[in-house]
Order: sequence, then C-alpha cells, then structure tokens
Amino acid sequence: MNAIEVTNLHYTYPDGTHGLRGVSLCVPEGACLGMVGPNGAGKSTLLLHLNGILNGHGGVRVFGKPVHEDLQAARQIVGLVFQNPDDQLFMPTVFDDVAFGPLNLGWPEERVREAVTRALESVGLTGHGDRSPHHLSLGEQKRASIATVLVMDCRIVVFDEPTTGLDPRGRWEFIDLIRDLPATKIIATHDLDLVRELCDRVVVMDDGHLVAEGPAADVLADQELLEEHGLAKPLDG
Amino acid sequence: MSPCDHPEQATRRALARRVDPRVAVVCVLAFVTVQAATPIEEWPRFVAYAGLLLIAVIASRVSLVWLLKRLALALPFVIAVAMSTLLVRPSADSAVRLPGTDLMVSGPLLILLASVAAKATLSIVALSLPVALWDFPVLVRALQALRIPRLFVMLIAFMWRYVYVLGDEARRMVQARDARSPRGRLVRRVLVVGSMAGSLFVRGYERAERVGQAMVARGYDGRLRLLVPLRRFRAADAAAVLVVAGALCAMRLA
Ligand SMILES: Nc1ncnc2c1ncn2[C@@H]1O[C@H](COP(=O)(O)OP(=O)(O)OP(=O)(O)O)[C@@H](O)[C@H]1O
Ligand SMILES: [Mg+2]
Repeated sequence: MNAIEVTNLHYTYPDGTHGLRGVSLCVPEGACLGMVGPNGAGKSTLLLHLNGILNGHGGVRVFGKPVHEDLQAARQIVGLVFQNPDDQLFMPTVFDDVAFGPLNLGWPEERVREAVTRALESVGLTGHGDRSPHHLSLGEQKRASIATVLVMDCRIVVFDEPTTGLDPRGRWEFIDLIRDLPATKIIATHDLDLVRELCDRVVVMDDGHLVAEGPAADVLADQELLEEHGLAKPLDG
Repeated sequence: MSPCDHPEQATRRALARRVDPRVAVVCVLAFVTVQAATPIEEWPRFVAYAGLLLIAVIASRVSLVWLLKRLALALPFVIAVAMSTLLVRPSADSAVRLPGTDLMVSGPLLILLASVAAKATLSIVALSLPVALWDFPVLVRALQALRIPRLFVMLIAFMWRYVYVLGDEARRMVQARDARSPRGRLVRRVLVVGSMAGSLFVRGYERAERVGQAMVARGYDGRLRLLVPLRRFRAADAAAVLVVAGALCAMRLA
C-alpha cells in the first residue's frame, strides 16, 4: 500500500509565486525517500501539503484517504519536522514542547512523561527538558525539533533539512536514529551523502517540478542530472 | 538581548518558594490592587506597603541588581510625568515652589508624579517576585488554574518565547546594517531603523503564520495543555494568605 500518493499537485503562494507546478509522487509504506533539489525548488512547499497545512490544487492521499477529508487523523499519521527550529519550538521549555503533541492527542500523563523522556534520550538531549529553546544551540534546537515529532510515534515522518546546523557527530547520530526508525520516511535535504546512507529512493525537484525519480544509487550516480539541477559541481573538462 | 533573563539560583532556596505559585500570584495581585487604589496623600500607608514588600523581597532572596533592572521598566513613565511637571506652567493658585530651587511647578502634577513613581515601583517589584521564584511554565500553569482567560495565558506564554526570537532577529538586522554602513549620518540611521521596524513586523507576522502551522501539525485545537502538577494547599499557603490579607486590611483600616 502507498503511504503517500500525490497527484498533479499545483500550489501558488498568495503573492503569486509558483511553489508547485504539477507534482505527482508515490511513496510506498516503509520506504525512505530522499528529496533533493536547489533552493526554491518547492521541497518545503510539497512537504507542507503532506499533512494538509497547505492546500493546493490536486490530490494528496495518506494511506489511501484524501488528507482534507480528515485533517486531524492525517496529522496523527504524518509527523512533520519544520526546517527552522524557531518555528517548530514554541513552548517555554523543551519538555513542554516535546509533550505538546502527545498532550494534544490526549495521552495520559504517565505515558506522556515516558514518551518525552525516551524521545529526548534518542536525540541526545537527556536532562535538557527544563531549558528554554532559546538557550539551546542551533544543533540542539534541531535535535529538540526532531524529538517533538518522534515522540508521537507517527507512521510517516517528514523531515525538512534535518541535518543543517548539526555537527558531524550529531549528523551521524541522526543518521543512525533515522535508520532504525520504524516508519515511512521522507527527507528533504541538500546533504547527498545522507541520502546515500539512508534512502532507497530519491526524487529530484526543480522549479516546482519533479524532474527525476529513481533508486538512490542510480540518481546519485547521474552526474549530468545533478549538475543540471545545481546539486553537484560540474566536473572539469 | 535578554528582557527576562533568569535571576540567580539563590531564589531556588528561598523561603517564599514554599508558597504555592497560585497563592503567590493571588497575593501579589491583591497587593498591587490595594496599593494602586490608595491615594498618595495617605503617604504613611505607602511606607507600610513598602515594608511589607521588603519582607517579601527578603523571603524571595532576589538580588538588588535584578530588581533594579526590572524597575528600569517604569522609568519611561516616570520621566514622562516628570517632564510634564516641569514643562506645564502652573496656574497661580496651584503653584508650589520646588524645594531648594526657584522653580514654580504645579502642585497637582507634583502629586501625580509622586503617585506614579511610588505605585509603579511597588507594582513592578511585587510582580517580578513570582517571576524570580518560579519557572515560567509553573506560572503559566498557575494562571490557568486561577481561571485567567486562556487567550491571556497563551499571550503571555508566547510572548515569553518570541520576545527572544524577535529580539535576536532585530539584533541580527542591526549587525547587518552596521556591517554595511558602519558610521552613517544620524538621519540615515534613524531612517534605516524605521524600515527595520517595518520588516521586523512583517517577519514577525510570517513567523506567527509558520508557528501556527507547526502547532496544528501537532494536533493543536486551541487548548494549551501543560504537564505541571498542581500541589495541594499547605500550611505555608495559608500563612502567606493570612499574612498578606491581614497586613493589607490593617493598612487600609489604620
Ligand atoms: N510564504 C511564501 N510566500 C511566497 N512565496 C514563497 C513562500 N514560501 C516559499 N515561497 C516560494 O516558493 C518557492 C518554493 O519554495 P520552497 O520553500 O518550497 O523551496 P525549497 O525547495 O524548500 O528551498 P530550500 O532548499 O531553500 O529550503 C520559492 O520560489 C519560494 O521563494
Ligand atoms: Mg525548504
């Protein structure tokens, strides 16, 4: 079964900028999909459609159900880690922020506490629960953002540039964490090595279009394609 | 920038922390209301208020420096009233001589100045005590428990977080400006600050939109849920209520 099905999706921002110009995409359950493309390609715009935050023309289905038929249900299934931690972390402390989703789902207190502790541990932030997000370093904020979504045990987890700002060790820890995560994963990133490590399939976006799709090994080996879409430095000669 | 940087650890061990934050909030609000409703002409009462407040300050173990920083908030208002006291020409029957000078100022305005200065000082010191004593979520929870309207509680909670984010953003903009025009003329600098305020507003607005998206993405339905256990009412709470209520009544009646 397909976890996500996007058909011919168009989206124009209120100021007239074309975010998406007809994107179709299928992500089978359990897959780990990499999404690459230059700045402004429309990656973030597409991800915001997957749990109905943006509502463009075309179809978005989650496990066969149109997202806009039941937004609340779709949001329980699809967890989204935003690109900028200042958007993702809005509560006074890290603990409250990680607990925000589970509390909204109505989990009992004991379960919330356990889940928050586990999520903070898995991103290496044990003991930072009482701190304010604005006192964390950027990398720590990134990890906290990831924890806010991991904690909800979503069947589909969507990451928008999860490793920007992480130090090399944090990046490897993230890779290990994601590899073991039992969920369907979609990762938008500029980090091709990360895609190589984690993803089985890759889509390439540019200018609101999906320009290529295929097994990670093939797409990442296609030097010409990568050059054309600003993902690799042209080879000399 | 740190408009609400946290006070020292000393307050963690303060006597006043034995009181439930809800009780403390109520006591502080009662204190602020009562002193604000007292006419400044009855100035001996203000000495008593200050004495009561001093006890609370000592029991909270906040440092003088930290309190003075909070007090700076009141400065603009006091200065505004002081200016008008000096600038407004007094009418013949209300003029009084400023002690030690030849300056004639308006009597009612002078009284207003004293009133604003005294009440603002007492209010700000009183209101900053709970902030010094408890972590922010605890206070938010206390406000919720006291049935303070949800919108108001949310407003405070978000202000706390985003005052830093916007403050950082403003600082980055100033740095970017200074990096590109290290010593421009004053007029230019003022104009630049004006346009920065505009773009800060737009950024703040767009940020609010994205934060809203992040909240609904995690199932937000308009209700703020926090996990801070509420304590049972204890002897320390009863003592605090009795002391504050008793003292305030005595001061009003005396
Ligand atoms: N809120 C907005 N209002 C107007 N236009 C926007 C908005 N957000 C994005 N855009 C525009 O939509 C297009 C796609 O942007 P999007 O953020 O999806 O790109 P992206 O692939 O995520 O890029 P990046 O790698 O830089 O994150 C860009 O041209 C961008 O300028
Ligand atoms: Mg993006």
